[in-house]
Amino acid sequence: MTTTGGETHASDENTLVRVENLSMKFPIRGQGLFARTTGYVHAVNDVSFSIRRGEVLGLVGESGCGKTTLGRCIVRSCQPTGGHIYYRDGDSVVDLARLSTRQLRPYQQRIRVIFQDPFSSLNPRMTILQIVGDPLTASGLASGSELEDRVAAMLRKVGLSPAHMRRYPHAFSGGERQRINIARALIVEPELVIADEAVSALDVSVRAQILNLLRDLQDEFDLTYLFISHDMSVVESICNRVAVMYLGRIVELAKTEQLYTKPRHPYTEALFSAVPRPDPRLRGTGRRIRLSDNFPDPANPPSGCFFHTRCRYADEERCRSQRPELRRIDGDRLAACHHTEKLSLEGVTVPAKNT
Amino acid sequence: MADDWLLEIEGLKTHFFLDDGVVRAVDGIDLRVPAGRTVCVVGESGCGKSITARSILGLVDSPGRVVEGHIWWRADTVDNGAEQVGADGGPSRIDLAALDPHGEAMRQIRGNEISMVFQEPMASLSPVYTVANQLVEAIQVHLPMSRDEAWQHGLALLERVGIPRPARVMDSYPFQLSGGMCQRVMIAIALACGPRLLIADEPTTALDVTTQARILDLLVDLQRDTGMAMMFITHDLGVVAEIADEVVVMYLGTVVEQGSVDDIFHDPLHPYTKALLASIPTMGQGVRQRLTSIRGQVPHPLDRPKGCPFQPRCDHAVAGVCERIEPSTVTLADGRRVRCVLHEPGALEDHDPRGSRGIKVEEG
Amino acid sequence: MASETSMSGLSGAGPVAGDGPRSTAERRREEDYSASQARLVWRAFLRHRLAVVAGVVVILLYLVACFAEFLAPYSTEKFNEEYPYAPPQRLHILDRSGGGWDFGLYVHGYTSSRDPETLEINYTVDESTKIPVRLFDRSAEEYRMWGLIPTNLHLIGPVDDSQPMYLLGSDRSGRDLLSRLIYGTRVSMTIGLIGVAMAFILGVVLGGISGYFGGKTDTLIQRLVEFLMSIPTLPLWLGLAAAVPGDWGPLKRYFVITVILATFAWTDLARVTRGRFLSLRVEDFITAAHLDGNRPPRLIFRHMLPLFTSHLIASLTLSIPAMILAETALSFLGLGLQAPVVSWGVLLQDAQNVQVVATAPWLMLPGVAVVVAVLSLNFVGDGLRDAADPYKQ
Repeated sequence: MTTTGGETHASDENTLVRVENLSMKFPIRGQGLFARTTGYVHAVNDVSFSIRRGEVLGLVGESGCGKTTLGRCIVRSCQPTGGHIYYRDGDSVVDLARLSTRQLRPYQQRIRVIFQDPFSSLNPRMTILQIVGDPLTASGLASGSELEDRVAAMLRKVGLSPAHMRRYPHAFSGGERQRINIARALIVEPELVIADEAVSALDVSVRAQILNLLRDLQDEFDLTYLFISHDMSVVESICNRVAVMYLGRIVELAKTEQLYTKPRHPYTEALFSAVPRPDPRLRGTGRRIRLSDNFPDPANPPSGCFFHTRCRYADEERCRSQRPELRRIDGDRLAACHHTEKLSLEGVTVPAKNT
Repeated sequence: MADDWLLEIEGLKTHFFLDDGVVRAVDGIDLRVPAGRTVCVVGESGCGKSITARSILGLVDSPGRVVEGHIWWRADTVDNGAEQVGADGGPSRIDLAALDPHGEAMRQIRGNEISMVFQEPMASLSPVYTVANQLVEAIQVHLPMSRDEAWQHGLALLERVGIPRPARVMDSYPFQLSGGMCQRVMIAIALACGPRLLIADEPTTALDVTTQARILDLLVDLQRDTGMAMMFITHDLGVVAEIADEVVVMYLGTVVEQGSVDDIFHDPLHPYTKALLASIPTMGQGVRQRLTSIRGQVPHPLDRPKGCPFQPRCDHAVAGVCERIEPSTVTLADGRRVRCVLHEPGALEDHDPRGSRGIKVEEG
Repeated sequence: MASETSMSGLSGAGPVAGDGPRSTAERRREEDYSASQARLVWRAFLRHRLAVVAGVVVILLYLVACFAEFLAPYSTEKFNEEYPYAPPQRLHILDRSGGGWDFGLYVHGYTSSRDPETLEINYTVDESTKIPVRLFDRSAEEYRMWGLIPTNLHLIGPVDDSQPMYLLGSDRSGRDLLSRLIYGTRVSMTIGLIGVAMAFILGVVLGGISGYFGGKTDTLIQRLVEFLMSIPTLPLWLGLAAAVPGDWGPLKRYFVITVILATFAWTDLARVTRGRFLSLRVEDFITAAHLDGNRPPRLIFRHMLPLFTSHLIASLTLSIPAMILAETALSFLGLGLQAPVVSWGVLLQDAQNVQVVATAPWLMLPGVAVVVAVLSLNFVGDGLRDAADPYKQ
C-alpha cells in the first residue's frame, strides 16, 4: 500500500502506532452440524493509518463500518487476519499483530480501552476497588494498602470520592460509572487509550463533563486517544484529526478543521449534511444530501468504489469498476475518491451568531 | 387558536410503587398538543418523557399507575355527526386517564386515533410474521376492508413511507430488513388507520445519522400531507431543532419549560434549558473547545431533591428559596410556560426577603 | 402536601408524614450500595414467604435425618409379631377417665380379634388400658448416636418397653412405621445430597469447559450431553441396578445407586453452566477483565463464577427433588435400595398391594413424606432462583 508510504515507520519519532494493511475477516458459516464457511465479512478491509503521540485521532462512521472492530484489533481482543500494527516502544518498533499472548501482556498496559456502555462494562459482583484495581492485581503489580492508595488516588483524579470504593457498581449513575471505567483504563498509566463510543450512552448533561474530563486527563497523563464515535459533533469537539470509515475502509483522513470546513469525500459531506443541528433557524439551510437506506451488504460489497451505490457524484465507468486508493491530496490529507479534485463539497457552515 | 388543541394533559401524575419507595416518574405535568402541530418532549433519561407517552395510551405497566390528573382527548366531531358540547360549554372531550386501559374505548382510541412508534423497530415487530401479515392485520383490525383491499392499502402505505419495491418488502420478515426499513414499516403500520395524533418515542435514536435524517424528513412530509399532530419524544436537541413547532422540556417528572421552538433555542428562560443548550457540542463551533457542563448527576429517582428538582445542579439557585419551595408554573404573555422562581412574580419577596435580595440584583 | 399524604397512603408506607419514609429508604439504599451479593440474595429470599416456610420444612427434615436414632422410638428392626398392621394410636395428654385432671402422656392399648373366615386381624382401641408414655425415655435397646456415643435415650417411648406404642401404626411384621419413616428420611434425603454433589461437580466442570473454551471441545461435550439425555432413564436405571451384584452389602449398594443417579443428573447443570459461560464471554466487562491482563483461571474464578454461584445453588436445590424421586421410584420397583436399608422408597414397597393399602392405609405415609420433601425443596429452589439476581430491577 502506498497511502502512508512517505513515512518510514521506524524513523518517525512522533508516530506511536502505525497500522498497515490491517484486515479483519469474519467467516460466515452455513447452517447445519458440519457447517462450512460460505463467505467472509470484511469488517476491516486493508486499512492503513498512523496515530501520532499526544493527539486525539477520531474514527467516525455509521454502525457496521468496522470502526469498533478496528479498535478491538489494536488491543488484540480480535486477532486480525492480516496486516501489521506497529507500536513504538522506546527506540524500537514492535508489531502487535504478531505477538503471542504472553508477549502481548506488557503492551496491554500501555494500550487501554474505555468501553461504550457504562452499565455492561462493570462487573456487578465486584466493588469499585476490585474493578479499578483489577489491572494491577491481575498482573501482580500492587496489593493490599498500596493497591487501595493507588485506586483512591485514581478515583480522585476522575472526580469520584475514594470513600465509595467499597460500593458496588449498581450504586452509581451512568456518568459515574463511566468515570469508573476511565479510572480502570488509566490506573496502569497507559500511553494510548482507545475510547470506543465512550460518551454515546450518556445523557447530554453528563456527556460534556466526561468529555472535559477526558481532555483534562490527556493533559495530565500525556495520553494519546483513538476516539471512536458516530457522533460528528462530539468528534469535532475533541479530536485533532479525524478518519472517516465506510464499509471497512478509511475513505478520508484529515485535520479536524479541514475536514469539517471542506470535506473531500462525498461520504463525509453526506454525513455532515445528515447531522441535525440544534438551531431551528438553520432549518432548510445548507446542502441537503440524503443517502439512500440501502446500506450495502458487508459480506458482498459493491465493485469499484464501495460508496458508488449511494454516491450522488458517481459516474458509470470508473467508480463502478475501479477501486479508488486512499491517496494524498493537498498537503497531508488523504481521501479515497476518483473525483475529489473536481468536486466542490460542502462542509459545516458556521452560522453568523446573532448574539 | 387557544381552542385548537387535540390533546391536553392536566396535572398528570404517574407513580411507580416499588419495594423501596415511590418513584414519581411523572409528577404533575401540564401540556397541550395543538392539532396538526409537532410537539417535542425533550429531556434526559429518567425525566419521565416516555412514561408520559405511555400514560396517554394506557400502556403503563405495574407497579406503575396514573394516580392523578386528566388526559383530555378532543373527541372526534366527525364521527358524532355534530359538534358536541361538553358540560362546561367547551368542546366534547374524553379523559383518557379515566378509561380502563384494557377496555374497548381505549382500544378504539389507541388504534384509530392515536398511534405510537417506538425506539426499537426490530423489537416492536414480530420476527415470525412477514411484514404483510402484520401490516394487513393492523389495517383490518381498524378499517372495514377485505384482505385484498387491505393488501392494496398496505402496499400504498409502504410506498408512501418511501420503501422502494414495496411488494417485495411485503413478503419479507423484519429481520431481513435494515433498521431504517423496519422503522418505515412501523410508521406505515402506525399510519394504517389515519391517526389524528402520532406519538413517536425516540424513533430515530437507534438509527444512524444518515438514516435518521431520512426518517425525520419522512415524518415531516407525512405530517404536512395528513395534517396529523405529532408528539415527538427525544433526548436529542438537534432533532428537536429540526422538526419541532412546540417544545416541552422535562426534568425529573416535571415540565420545566414549554414554548415555541424558536423561543426555547434562542431565548431559553429556565436555567436547566439554558444549561442543556450550552452543554451540547455543536458542529462548527470550533475544534477542541471546552464544553460548558451541568455539574452533578441526575438524582436517583427515589432521591428527589426538595423544592425545585433542578436546584442542586442549578447555577442560578437562590439560597433559602429553591430548596424549600416547589416553584409553580407561570404562564407568560405569549403562551410560554416556565417553572422557576426566577420567573415567578413575587416568589422571591414572599419567601426569603433577606437571602434573595442580593441574588436578585445579580440576576437582573 | 395533600398529594404527599395521599401518596404515602397508596404506597402502604403508613401515615408517616413528610420525609420520614424517604430517609429510611435512603438509609436502606446506602446499605445496599456496599452490601455484598450474599446479603442481597438473602434479603430477597426472605421476601419470598412460601420459600421461607419451605426452607424451614427442609431444615426440619434434615434435622430429623441427623438425629434419627434419638427421634425414633425404636430401631428399624424391632418387631412385635403380636401387632401386625396395627393402626396408629392417638397420643393423649390429659386423662379424665378417673374423673380428675390427670396430666401425663399415654396411649391406649389394643384388643385384637382374628376374623375366622379371612383370618384378618381386627384391632380396636381399648379405651380401658392405658399405656403411659414419656418424653426422653430410656429404653432397653442401646444404640450409638452417630455411631459414636453409646446411649439408650429416645425422644419418646413407652415407660414399659413391652407395651406397644405405634404412633403411626405398624407394618406387616409389627415394626413401628414412625421409627422406620424417621430412619428412611436419613437415607432418602442424603442420597439426594450426595448424588447432587457428584452431579454438580461433573456438571459445572464439563459445562464450564464447554462454555469457556468452545469450539471442538464444546461440540464434543454437547453431543455427549445430548446422547445421555436421549437415553430413556427408567429402563437404563433398571438395567444398571440389575447389574449390581446381589451379594453386595447395603452400604455398597447405596453408593452404587447414588453414582448411577448422578451419572445422568449432571447434564442439565452442564447445559446451564455452559449457557452462562457463553453469554458471559461476550459481556463487555469480561472483555475488559481480559484486557486487564487476567489469565484464564483468574478470569473464570474471580470474574465469571461469582456471577452465577447463586444461580448454581438454585439449580442445585432444584435437582435434589429429582434425585429423591428417582431413588423412591427405583426402590419402589425393588431395584434400588433393599431391606434391611430403610428409605422412603423401600417403605413404599409395602404399599404395593391394593389390599394392604385398603386395610393399612397408613403405609402410604412415606409417600406423603416424599411429596412434602419434594415440594419444599422446589419452593426453596424457586425462591433462591428469584432472589439470585438482586440487581435485577
